[in-house]
Amino acid sequence: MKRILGLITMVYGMMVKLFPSEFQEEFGDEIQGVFATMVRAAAGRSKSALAVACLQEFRDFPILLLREYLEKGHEKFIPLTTSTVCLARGLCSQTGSCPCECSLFVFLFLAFTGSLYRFQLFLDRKAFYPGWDLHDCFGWRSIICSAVQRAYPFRLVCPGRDIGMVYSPSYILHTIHIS
Amino acid sequence: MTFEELQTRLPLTETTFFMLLSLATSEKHGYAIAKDVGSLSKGRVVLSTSTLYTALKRILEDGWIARAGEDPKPDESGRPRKTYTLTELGRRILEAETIRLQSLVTIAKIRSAGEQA
Repeated sequence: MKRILGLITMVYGMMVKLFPSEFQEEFGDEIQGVFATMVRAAAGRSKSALAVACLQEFRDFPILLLREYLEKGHEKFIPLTTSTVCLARGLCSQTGSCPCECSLFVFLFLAFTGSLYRFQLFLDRKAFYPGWDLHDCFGWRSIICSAVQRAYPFRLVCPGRDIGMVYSPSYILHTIHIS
Repeated sequence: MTFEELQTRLPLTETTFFMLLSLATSEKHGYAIAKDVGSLSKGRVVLSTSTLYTALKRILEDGWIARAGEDPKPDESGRPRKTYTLTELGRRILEAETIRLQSLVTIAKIRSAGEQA
């Protein structure tokens, strides 16, 4: 078990290095210390508790990482988002299926996170985000949109209509425009 | 910050509300905040480490909390644990949100009492 914990902590340490340098400088050591304590505490309870703790961590990570970069308007993500969002925008508006205007990029990116949410539902129903209706949770679109809502808990206003707590390509483009 | 300005920062997310509430009684380090949020929400809000620290960063930048120093007891790996405390602005935001939530409950109670009558 000690080996597994060491490995998990090491992988997490590598993941933390993906955050913007300012974030790493300020919180890098602290975040790794807390993560190590959390996984040790979870491992002390049971193996499934450890699995749930890790899953939750790795599930939230991609969205938070993306958010940190977008908030800073970090250069690494800008070319990727600009081109992909422009391409995906047309696709989304053509199908008209997505009420939150999820871009293809955000959609694909969050498909990974959504699948982890789903998997966690099978492992531990209580750990699942409590505000979700279980019926809704089985729709992929609901999972991904809810994942975005959870990661971006602030209000965004789109031209013409208030889209609420949802991340949209308009916002990505707005962020890029500002930066 | 005036009352009107405070109102523009509301409503708080559940996570932020519980984090501020956790720091209302005493200064805490990150792990203690995560544990406290879990117990305050009766297990409903489970914070991952990255969620906790990105939220802490945001409210630190907003000036709602501040670094208070280091916990005299280091963590199990020997790393020093930085502690956080609620600022005056954070306390006012927390109070404003509590008042907002109370008024919602009051309205709901009045309405449901009216329906029963």
